[in-house]
Amino acid sequence: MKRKCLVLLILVIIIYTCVTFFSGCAQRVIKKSDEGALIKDKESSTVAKPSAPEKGVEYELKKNAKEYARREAEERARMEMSRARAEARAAEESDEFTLDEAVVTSQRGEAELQKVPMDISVARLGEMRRLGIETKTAIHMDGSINLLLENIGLGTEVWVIEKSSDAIGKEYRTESPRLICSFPGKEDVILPLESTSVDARISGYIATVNVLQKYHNPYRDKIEAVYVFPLPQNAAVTDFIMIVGDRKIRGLIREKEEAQRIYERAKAQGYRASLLTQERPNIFKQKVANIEPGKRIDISITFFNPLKYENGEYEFVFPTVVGPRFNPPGQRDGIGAVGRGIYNRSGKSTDVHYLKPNENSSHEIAIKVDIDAGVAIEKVYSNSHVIKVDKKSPSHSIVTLSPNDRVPNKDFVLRYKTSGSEVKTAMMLHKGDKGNYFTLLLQPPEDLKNLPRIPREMVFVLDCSGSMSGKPIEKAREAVRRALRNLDRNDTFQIIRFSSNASSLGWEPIPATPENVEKGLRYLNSLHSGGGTMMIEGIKAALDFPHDENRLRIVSFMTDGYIGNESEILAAIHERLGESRIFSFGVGSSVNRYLLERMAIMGRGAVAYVGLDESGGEAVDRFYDVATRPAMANIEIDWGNLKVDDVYPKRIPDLFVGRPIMITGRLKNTSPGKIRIKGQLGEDRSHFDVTVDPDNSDAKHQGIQSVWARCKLAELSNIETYNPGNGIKKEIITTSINYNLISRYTAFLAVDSLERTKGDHGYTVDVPVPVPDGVKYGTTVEDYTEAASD
Amino acid sequence: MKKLLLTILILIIFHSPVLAGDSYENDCGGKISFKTVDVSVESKKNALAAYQIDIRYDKKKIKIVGLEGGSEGFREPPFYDRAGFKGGHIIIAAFVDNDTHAKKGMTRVARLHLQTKGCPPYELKTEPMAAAKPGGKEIPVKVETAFVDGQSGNSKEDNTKSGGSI
Repeated sequence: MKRKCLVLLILVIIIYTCVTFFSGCAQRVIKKSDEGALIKDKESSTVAKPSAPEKGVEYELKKNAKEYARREAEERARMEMSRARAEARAAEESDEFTLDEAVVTSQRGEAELQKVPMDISVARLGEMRRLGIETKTAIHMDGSINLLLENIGLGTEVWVIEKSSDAIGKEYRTESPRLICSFPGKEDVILPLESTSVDARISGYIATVNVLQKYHNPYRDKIEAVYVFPLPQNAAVTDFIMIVGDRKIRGLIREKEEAQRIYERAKAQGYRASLLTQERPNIFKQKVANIEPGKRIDISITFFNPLKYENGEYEFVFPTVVGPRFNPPGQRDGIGAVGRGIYNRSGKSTDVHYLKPNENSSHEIAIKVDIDAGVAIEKVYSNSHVIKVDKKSPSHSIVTLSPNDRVPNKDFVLRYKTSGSEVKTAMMLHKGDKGNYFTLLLQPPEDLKNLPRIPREMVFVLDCSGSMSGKPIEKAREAVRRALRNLDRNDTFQIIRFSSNASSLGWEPIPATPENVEKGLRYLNSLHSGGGTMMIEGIKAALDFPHDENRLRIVSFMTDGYIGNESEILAAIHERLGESRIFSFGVGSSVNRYLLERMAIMGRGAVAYVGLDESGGEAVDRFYDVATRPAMANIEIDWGNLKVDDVYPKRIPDLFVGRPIMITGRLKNTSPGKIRIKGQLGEDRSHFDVTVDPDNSDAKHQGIQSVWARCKLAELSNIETYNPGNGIKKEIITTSINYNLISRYTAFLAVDSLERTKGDHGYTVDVPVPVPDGVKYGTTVEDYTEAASD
Repeated sequence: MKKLLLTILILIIFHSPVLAGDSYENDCGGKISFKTVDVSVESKKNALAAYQIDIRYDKKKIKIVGLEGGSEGFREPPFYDRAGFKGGHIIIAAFVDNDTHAKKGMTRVARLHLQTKGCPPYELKTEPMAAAKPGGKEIPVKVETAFVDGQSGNSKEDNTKSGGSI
């Protein structure tokens, strides 16, 4: 019996020992698998498949080898295909190209093709421009370049040269006259961002825009893709979805620091994750973690965007690239501009990586805009891009970007005009779960046009920094030239230039006599671009300049706005503005619209833009005509029996001829009523009445709540700019989270916790972008090549 | 003696951490991990066309880091109301993309992606606020949540709960 008991006791001890031992193993396994990034591949596979046979591993290796071989072949083919395309861009930049062989056809692109040896042909785009022929170039998928010729006068003999029909395909032979050719010598860069598709629907004056970014991993190792990209400065980003295969994961908004922490943890533990942060109101950073080799992750972003309505035309703008920003020495939170593959050198919190002039990106953009105007659309056009307009009905058109114009290197600007007289002052309403919200498009009164011009003191401030060299400075000079020639004898003027420092034509306002205007024009012609963008020097020089009290001072900045210290600039304007008004001109293909719009709002003026492909003459004249006419100032609104609160902007801007303003607020009741707009017209106090019936209005839009919240955030950010550290951060965060709207202190985050990817999180790959059209890499991007080679 | 040995054996077995089910709990302290919870709606004889579910959770231990759709008809990720989001409270809602996709019985309507901190159980309560069949008529439903297989952190995988903790 005793012996039996002893055996039983020994048995119990053995069982206990075994159980304890195995439980310890289990705990260690759990512990290891939770350490995420610290797990080595081998260890994690041990956990997943403790008894995986050697054969399985071998099979996987073989499979991978096959996969790599396939991918390499694809990469090679892609490189081959796009080499010529890359070369075309180099030639486009150098303004010169030659043809080895081409085919000549008639102007209508009919089939009478004739092969011509082209070894002696040399074409220069510059020469064509000097002849007054407008040229537009576009890169074609097969590596060729399309050259579109416009403004060809009657009787001008034009030779149209086209590639063989076999090489190009029928569809290209029926379009505009063009010259197509290929060039040797450029390197193609395969990127993790394949394409961006923009799908916009316009209803009333609000666009609902969906942006789909398609990321993939063309490399052998797992990657994190980082892409810094622009959105319109007034975009209310409300929705963020990460797409993994056919699964869609909606991201949630969180405080930025918290979202970043969660993202980093998820990334370290091998989960697919994405994070969207706002670096500036018009610059965003997208991070996508744990993209496995050969796999893809798509990101869908939705925003609402109120359109600009000016001089009878609506304008839809979609920026495609962030211009290279200049940051004053010592600035840490700027936006750095560095060459591709350069890391941790700029000292800035965010870097935009630019492709070198001899590099070409595989990233392309597609844009579709669905315009449902409600009334007949008279005209749809774009001066920036080649578009196709599909007219579905008199009031409904679908606009698509031409497949030949898909390089994301300039703002897409679409304008359309509706029939009938100007849009009347009207209210749009949204009844949401958080209350009623409205937008009011306030038109200036008719009699504003009849008021006499008043004497002005014009101060033109030209940005002569490196980023303005070439076409941008030419466009800026052209605008000032026109404005100078249109000055009245009673006006005065001054011209100030700035780059790394500021200087001016004189030290006091100059009467606009014909002799002085000539002197001004000569000074203008002598200005050259180069150096940094110390805009603060330009601001100081313009706003501290001696003021003639008998005239209204108008300060007109001519700039691309490529600076990283916007807050500092806006704070300086706020401090020095006094009675001056700011009427600025954005010059270039990808202007920093956020900066220029904020400057105009702060300076109680307006802003206009001239693209590099626009002649802009009429726009310049119209803009300065607006600037020299009195506005309806000091506006107040008597809302009558409508109960409104939280109206933005808090300080209603002045009303100028042809430039309505948008006001948004919350509405406590929706009963019809009359609102009275009161303001100063010259010496007199004036008013006009508008009848509104929000409840019966057809004009409703679900985006109004987000537009309102976006305006509130802009107002709060402004207050913070003038008065930093006043505790406004908390209010920005609360508004942002309550209305699901991204801000500088919040971020969208999505994690796919379903499956953990194998191995560590791999490499971080920044998506490089081309420098904007018309901007020179050498004068704007920190390349660090010399330092790197040391 | 026999009885004594049997008692010792039973005590040892139940003391064993693996069988007691607290192997992870003893060691999970401040550990942060990511887990996935499926949300299903039982609509019995009625086809489910739309739902609104109130979710309350222990915000010290759970953060919702993603919202995914469910099975056919509810594939699109649900919308959410973030008004109470800061306080461990979220309302999710969705409707079928097409009435023909509305199904009777149990439907997986959403998937919650969570970041969890510390040891299970994790407090996550679900309450149906509204549900409707095609045509919009309100129907009674029951909501169930469950960790996706292997992610509960518990030794037992049967973690399906109606309301309550998971």
